[in-house]
Amino acid sequence: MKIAVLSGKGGTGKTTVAVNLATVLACRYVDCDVEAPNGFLFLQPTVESKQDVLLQVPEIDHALCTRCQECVNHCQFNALLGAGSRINLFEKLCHSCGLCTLVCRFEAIKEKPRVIGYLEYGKRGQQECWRGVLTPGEPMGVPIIDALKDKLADGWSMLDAPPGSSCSVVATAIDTDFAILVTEPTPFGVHDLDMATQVIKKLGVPGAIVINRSVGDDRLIEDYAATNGIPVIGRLPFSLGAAQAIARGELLVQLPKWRARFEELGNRVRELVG
Amino acid sequence: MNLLIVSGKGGTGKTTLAATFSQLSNSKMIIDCDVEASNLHLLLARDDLERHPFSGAKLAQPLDNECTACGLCTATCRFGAIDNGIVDALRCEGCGACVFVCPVDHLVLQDATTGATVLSATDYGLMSRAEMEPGAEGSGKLVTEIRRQGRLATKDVPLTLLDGPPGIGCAVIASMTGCQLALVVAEASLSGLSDAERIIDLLQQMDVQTLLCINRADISPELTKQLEQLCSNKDISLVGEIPYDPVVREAQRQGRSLLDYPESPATKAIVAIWDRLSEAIGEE
Repeated sequence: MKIAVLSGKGGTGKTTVAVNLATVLACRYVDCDVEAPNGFLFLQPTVESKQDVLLQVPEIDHALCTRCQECVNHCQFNALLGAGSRINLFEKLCHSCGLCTLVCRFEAIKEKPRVIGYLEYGKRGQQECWRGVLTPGEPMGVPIIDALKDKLADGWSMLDAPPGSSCSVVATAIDTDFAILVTEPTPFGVHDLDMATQVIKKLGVPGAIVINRSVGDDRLIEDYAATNGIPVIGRLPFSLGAAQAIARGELLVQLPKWRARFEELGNRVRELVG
Repeated sequence: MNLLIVSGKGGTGKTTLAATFSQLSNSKMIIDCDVEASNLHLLLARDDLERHPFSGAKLAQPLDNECTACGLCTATCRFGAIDNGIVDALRCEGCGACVFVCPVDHLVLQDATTGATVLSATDYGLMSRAEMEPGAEGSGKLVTEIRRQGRLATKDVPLTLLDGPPGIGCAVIASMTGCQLALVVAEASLSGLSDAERIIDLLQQMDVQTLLCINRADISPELTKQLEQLCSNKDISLVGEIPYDPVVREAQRQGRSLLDYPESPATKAIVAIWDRLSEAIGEE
């Protein structure tokens, strides 16, 4: 069972919901927001292992290369440049598709691994925690998310998604069983909630909405939910005390009132996903 | 002069600041680089003047001739995006490896529409923005395109404001390229600090002059202190601290400008930050 927590808009409370909900459900937490991974700040697992994420990029044997330009012409990502006396690689543009190694008739292209980030695994008591971390300066987080998801054993996993609605969000939510859409009752919140909803609809993943920072009047989100046939399964009130606890990196479930709210939310999730 | 507003973490107040700066400055062009979750137009756009479809990715497509189900495409694709000629558009990277290996020329690469670029009028000038197709590839390319459209629409403007996306990936790098000055909007939280460190690392790699302001500074005085320390360690000017102020959210809910609430503590702090930014822009 894989549950993705997404939002479209950043800063709506994805990580807050994911870490606290994973804790009450006693399930695995997986931080897929590899550009800005913050879940471990709250869970503080004892890290047991760390491994680099490698991307295979071409390595050109200039002694064998005839500079025929076939690899340059086939590369869709402009990662190879044939100007001057040799073929040059712009490694950060390379998507590691391997096509250049296939088109080279002179066997001049092999591949070498390049580190773009790392994965970490740890435990908080019995709770398993994973995260992926993209190295600043690297453009592509998707291979890290893919590597992370390959590591997950059976059992329940709570996948904390990146903001947005593009390839990293797709990589996180694809092949999950359920999506929790965390939003806030503001025009920005509902606009970006719609982007996230369209992503899960394309992926065929069912979902439900959690309204965060509710101030009582949530019509903006309720109307959206009703129009789009998505259930609202939880409402977390705005609270200055909670904001302060989150700022310090504390789990809200340590506070009895909040523990009850997340347990109720956990029960709704269990009912919905079986 | 290109001034980029970034944060690493989402939801720290980038768009609120960008919209307010657009009103306070003489900037005639603002670019919403957060193409995956664009919100700036909700605050500023009046009318859309131009709209162009944009293709920022390619997609393998089967042709009408018969697939022999040889399995070569399936074995070659590293993205798990094709099974004997049947393409999974959401996984396809558009690399063309399947097209190359197909022995019966059953596949071609085609341009995929990944969104639209939009030029909008605001009360203060023009806005270049995008409507990205949900789930599409290539947000970085779309950012580069709306920046290009922005340059085409306004020749020689003294100041272009850029509202950046969250994160540190391709869309952020595409927003940062060629910017002379960046304002990091850091939230006074442990997450805000961690993400500010990562975006500053990237800005320094890309050699962009960096300033920082702290939002919701009074939510955590400890973290505000740590962010101040980060600024002095990284030799970054701190240009202001914005207190938590319920007016910000209320203004957004009402669709109004923060400048309509001149007595609000957040408005006062943001106006003061703009004054300090103007000085930095003047000095550039």
